Amino acid sequence: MIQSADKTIFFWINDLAGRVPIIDRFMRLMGTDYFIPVCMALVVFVLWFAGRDPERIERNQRAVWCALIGAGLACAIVAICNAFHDRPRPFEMYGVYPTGQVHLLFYEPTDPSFPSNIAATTFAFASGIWLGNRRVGWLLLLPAFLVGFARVFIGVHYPFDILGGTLIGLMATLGALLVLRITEPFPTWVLKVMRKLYLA
Amino acid sequence: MGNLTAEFFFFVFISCCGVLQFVASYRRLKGISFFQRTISGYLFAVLAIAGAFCWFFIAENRHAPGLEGAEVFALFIAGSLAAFIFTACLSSVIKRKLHLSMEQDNPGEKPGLDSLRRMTYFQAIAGYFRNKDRG
Repeated sequence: MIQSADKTIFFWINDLAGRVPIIDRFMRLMGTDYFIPVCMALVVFVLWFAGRDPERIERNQRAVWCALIGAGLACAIVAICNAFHDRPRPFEMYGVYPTGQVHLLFYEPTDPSFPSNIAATTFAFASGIWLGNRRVGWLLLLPAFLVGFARVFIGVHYPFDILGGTLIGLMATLGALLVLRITEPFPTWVLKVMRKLYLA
Repeated sequence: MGNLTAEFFFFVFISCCGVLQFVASYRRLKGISFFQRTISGYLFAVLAIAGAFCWFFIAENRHAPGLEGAEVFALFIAGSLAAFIFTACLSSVIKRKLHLSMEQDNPGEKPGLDSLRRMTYFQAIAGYFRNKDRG
């Protein structure tokens, strides 16, 4: 039932590929392993230095810590999932157009389809920042959604892979929050040292 | 693969240099700015970031198997750190005459990024350790 819904939604989205070349190029760029992750990381880099007053600056810097730890945890959870469950990619199941059914606009990744690593890390990043800075958090959630949609559009993930990655990203953020609370006062101490080195 | 690693590192390095100049202009951190005027800092930031993205994504086909997620993460950390060190060194040379009166130190001043509004990174570090020695 779930797999059938997943397949149906996948083909709704993937069938949009190959019609308008400029949209294909845009989605391919959004779906690369580098574009959106680097854009988000640069926004987070700016956030480290941003804030009107010392209190806001410290809150932003704690949010950056949360996002970084969350992204690391998300990567680890995805690696563990991959070790236990190997879901084939859509193009492996249904073949590549024109001989098969999938419009593949990307190279053929060899790692498991579920869960999506890029969705997990981008959502961990965005939700980590959202906890400390709502405005920037919402701003980052937009590219996180876009990269998920683009990965289905270009034919390398099913929608449920993205959903799974998203849930893992959100769980990883909660985990990061817990890690920061448990290890307190270590994060405060690190921030103090960084401030003394004029890095924060 | 080695080529891609170097290219990605350079891409992050240039982008982060641009971001740091944007931050320096936005927060008036003259000590880490390469320029006298803030508008020049913003202009440099836009050119560096846009140039790095155009070069990285247009010069070569990036839709091919390449770096793992963890490698991308590590290279971003390394590239941003290198950009900060480069910015601190270059701005310290360019702005070496910036507010030399700060060399007299200010024992009451709390260390932090805001100190870089009046002095360069290395002046700030030197001042901090001098104050510490004086107790």
